[in-house]
Amino acid sequence: MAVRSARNIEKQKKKNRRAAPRAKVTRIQGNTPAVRRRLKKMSGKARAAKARG
Amino acid sequence: MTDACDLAAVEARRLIGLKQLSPTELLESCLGRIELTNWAVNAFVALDADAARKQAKAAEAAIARGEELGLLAGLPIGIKDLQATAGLRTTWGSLIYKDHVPTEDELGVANIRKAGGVVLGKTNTPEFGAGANTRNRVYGATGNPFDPEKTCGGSSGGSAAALALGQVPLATGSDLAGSLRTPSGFCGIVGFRPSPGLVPYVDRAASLSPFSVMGPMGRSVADMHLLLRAQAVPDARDPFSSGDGARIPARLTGADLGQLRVAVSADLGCAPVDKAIAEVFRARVRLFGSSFREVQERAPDFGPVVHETFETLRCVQFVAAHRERLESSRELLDRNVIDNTERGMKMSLADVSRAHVEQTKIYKRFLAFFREVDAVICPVATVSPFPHAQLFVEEINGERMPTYIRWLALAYAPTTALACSVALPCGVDHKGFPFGIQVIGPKGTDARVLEIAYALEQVLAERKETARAVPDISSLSPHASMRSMASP
Repeated sequence: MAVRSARNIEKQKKKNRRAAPRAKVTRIQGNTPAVRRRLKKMSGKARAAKARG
Repeated sequence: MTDACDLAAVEARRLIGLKQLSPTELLESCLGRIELTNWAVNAFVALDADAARKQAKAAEAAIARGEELGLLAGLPIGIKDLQATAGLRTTWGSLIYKDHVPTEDELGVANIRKAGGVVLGKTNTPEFGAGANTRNRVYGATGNPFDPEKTCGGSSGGSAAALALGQVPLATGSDLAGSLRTPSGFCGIVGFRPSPGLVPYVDRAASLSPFSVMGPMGRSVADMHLLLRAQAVPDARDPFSSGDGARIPARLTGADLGQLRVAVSADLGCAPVDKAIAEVFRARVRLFGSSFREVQERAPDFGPVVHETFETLRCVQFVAAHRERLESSRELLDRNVIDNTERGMKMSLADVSRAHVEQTKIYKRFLAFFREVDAVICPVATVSPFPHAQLFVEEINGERMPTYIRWLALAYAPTTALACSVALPCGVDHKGFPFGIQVIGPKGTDARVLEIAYALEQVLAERKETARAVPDISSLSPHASMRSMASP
């Protein structure tokens, strides 16, 4: 197993510090007001359908 | 603007500690996302919003008093419906327990509460976790966030789908034949199968069989690592429980990939893998392989009987857990549980003994393999997500699968060797669904495997072809076969 030296840890940290800032892609896609309105409507319909049957 | 529910768990926890995000605000954001999306995928199957609001308020009060905060303070957590939650319906996906409300928390849930986590609700699972297609007769099927007609994988499928859609920042899972990894791969999130004992599991019917483990799921390695630290609390009631949790670093720094030798294999030398999936894997290796010192195309020697060995030892668990249920409530059980238990009851002591002997050989060969490499990388799943109406994968590359779990061989071969494995998102497959890879190490190397996965995740995030896929909620559509959310 390769051993991670203190020097390499420092090198990696330095690289991380210098890396260009990059937006994390974590946000859900398509999250617009119109979509939210439509989804809310669908959610209500699904709940009503469940209550009926 | 980023909704609070889309924040990384580590970022949300940091903001909570700085009093820049209130646990109530985060909880309401998660509830809002559940309201918008759960009807389409059926990931959460039981919610207790009122109790969760009380827990969030309590966390806020603790912050206001300046108390020392737990690792998960104020973070809403989804709990797989195989873990008992006090006061919140727990069904194990079985009609036998469809109205069961436990009075006590399972150990893992209690540890999450101790760390300040807000138990938001239960996520769907196949009956007793049997199978990798999340559907049961209590709650119906859980759909894939990228196409609700397709399976999200399983058995921790509800947790994976919930995470992908931003319904919660963290969720729990368990893994026998890939239940933490397969749904992570299918939904584009991160799941970790720890070495047996790292996360204590005291509810195994036969406690000397360590294949079944509990573990964390998140949208990134750092998030998953946060939950793991709260879960890895030794408990002597699990005979495999150890102090290995102390070796999990408090902060991940990332391994120096340039020093590592990795083995890559599309099929681990034993699994039937869809040709297109194997090709996607090879193409991805060509993209990230240069980050490592050395990439060797080879696989550990799982031998000729790894399938029979795993299936026999798995049956021991089924017979131990379900024999009495099968005798008393057969009509309430699903096909997978009945088939597995019955198959196990036909096995002899000689069969079980032979399986133990073979497993010992596999374990030793696996350990020896890691003298020559630092990690093994392979795909998470052998196929792309398939319709959840189809119970399991019956055929791969025209070859009929002899059992309903054979398509999970990429996941259960490492289980048989008692390995630990991180499932990492790695772009999309040939059909546009999330594609996942496993980073595998031998038992007890959890910290090392996490550091490698953490570093590799950063490499993968830099390219469009290998970055984590995120679902588009505007494409969610109604699905007739799914039932809506249940109330506790």
